[in-house]
Amino acid sequence: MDKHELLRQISDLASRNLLTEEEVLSAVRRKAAKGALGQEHVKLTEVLYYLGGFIIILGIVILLGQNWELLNSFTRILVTLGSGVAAYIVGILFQQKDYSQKLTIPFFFLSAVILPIGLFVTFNEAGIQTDDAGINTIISGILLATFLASYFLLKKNVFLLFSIIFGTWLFFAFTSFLFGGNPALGWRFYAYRILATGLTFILLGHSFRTMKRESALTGLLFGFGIFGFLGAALALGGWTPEQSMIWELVFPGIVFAVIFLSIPFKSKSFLIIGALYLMAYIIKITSEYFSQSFGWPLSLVILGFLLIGIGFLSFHLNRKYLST
Amino acid sequence: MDYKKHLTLIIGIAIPVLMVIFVAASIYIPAYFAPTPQFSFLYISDNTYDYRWDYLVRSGTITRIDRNADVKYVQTGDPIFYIYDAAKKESTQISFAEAQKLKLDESPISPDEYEIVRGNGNGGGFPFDFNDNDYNSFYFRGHNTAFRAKLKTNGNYWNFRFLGWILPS
Repeated sequence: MDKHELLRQISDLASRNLLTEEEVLSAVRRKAAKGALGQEHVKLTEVLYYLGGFIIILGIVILLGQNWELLNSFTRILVTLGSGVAAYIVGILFQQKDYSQKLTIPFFFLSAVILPIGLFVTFNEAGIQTDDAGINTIISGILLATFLASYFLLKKNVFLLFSIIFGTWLFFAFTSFLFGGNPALGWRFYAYRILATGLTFILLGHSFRTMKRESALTGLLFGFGIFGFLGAALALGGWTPEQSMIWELVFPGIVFAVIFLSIPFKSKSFLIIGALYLMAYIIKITSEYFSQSFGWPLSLVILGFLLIGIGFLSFHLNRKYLST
Repeated sequence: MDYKKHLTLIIGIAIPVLMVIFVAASIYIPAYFAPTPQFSFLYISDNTYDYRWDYLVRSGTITRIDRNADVKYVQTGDPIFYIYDAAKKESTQISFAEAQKLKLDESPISPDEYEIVRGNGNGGGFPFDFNDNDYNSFYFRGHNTAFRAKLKTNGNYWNFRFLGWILPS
């Protein structure tokens, strides 16, 4: 029986007073409640998978920490890089059967955490100093290539997530390798890189919104993107007497744009993080410029009113446009 | 691939790539057009607090001033003086007597508008702070660019004290 036939029969029964509106609604609600209960069960199982994965990582770290000096180079590499590769292969094997599909993600997650440790250990055992930008560029490049290829082959979000993480790592390592130490670039170089990364996250999040599978990452990318972007923009303003007037003047425009973008983007991250940064900006500007002229107590009063205003604006926007 | 549909994705991925190109251009283009540093300079490669004498440039000549330190705790003699030759890009050791014959400009900025500065950290921060800081390297900085100067400091920035630019006598 198709949906239209069913609705026609319900309508027919209702017209003959054999079926009431309450009976139809209670039947629909019973089904919805059952579905929610089932979803909770699935989520709890997934949480247990991830918890198990976390405990495995913890176990490996403690095992290595306690016995590091006793292990030879081969064993060190086997325990770290070997475990990462093994977790990846187990993930692939679990993918083959329907009943073990849910187990794949925690194992891929596990491999994504252990593989970088394994690569660091391998390079270290080869006598290469692992804490410089060049080696970090190579390690993050290997991981990015592996996880990006895995994403295109296996179509799992966990690979996309770690591709973004390893890509970010590669970006910072490679730019440090190329330009780090140059006195023509100061601390602002780091802030500009965070600004660029934040903007990239926001744009990736926006483009994923319309994709069926990748849309699950949108909230995370928006959250970290806005946090990094606004944080870098605020930091670029500097502090008197070495402040950047351009960034201090432009920042309120950026933060208001972010707050109002929360409406078309239907994103609470934009609203909440934007409102928090607006508060941080007002506190910064007040203490930087007005605490001496107005006096600190009066500045605090004005600050309090402004923060209440921002809080009310955020609450109003959330209730009117974002609450479902 | 539908480029219009994935425009934000393309821009998002392009931003870090464009930033690398932009920063590279902002470093290498000014370096290409900037004048080569012309002025050599005199420096001490040692910690002068370990010595009996302090050294100052007065009226364009280096002079020795007694620090009145207890002779039991200071080294005798002079620290090592070097001339960094801007043209040859190398340091040559000289004695204090030879250094006294030089005509010096003690201002931190040279007549051709360069200054000697230390390298930065690698420009990282948590969690991307790689342990390859450049604090022990020295550069000519000016004209929106920087050129490395290989100095004899035994790899430690505290073994460096700039004394003055060497003017033509």
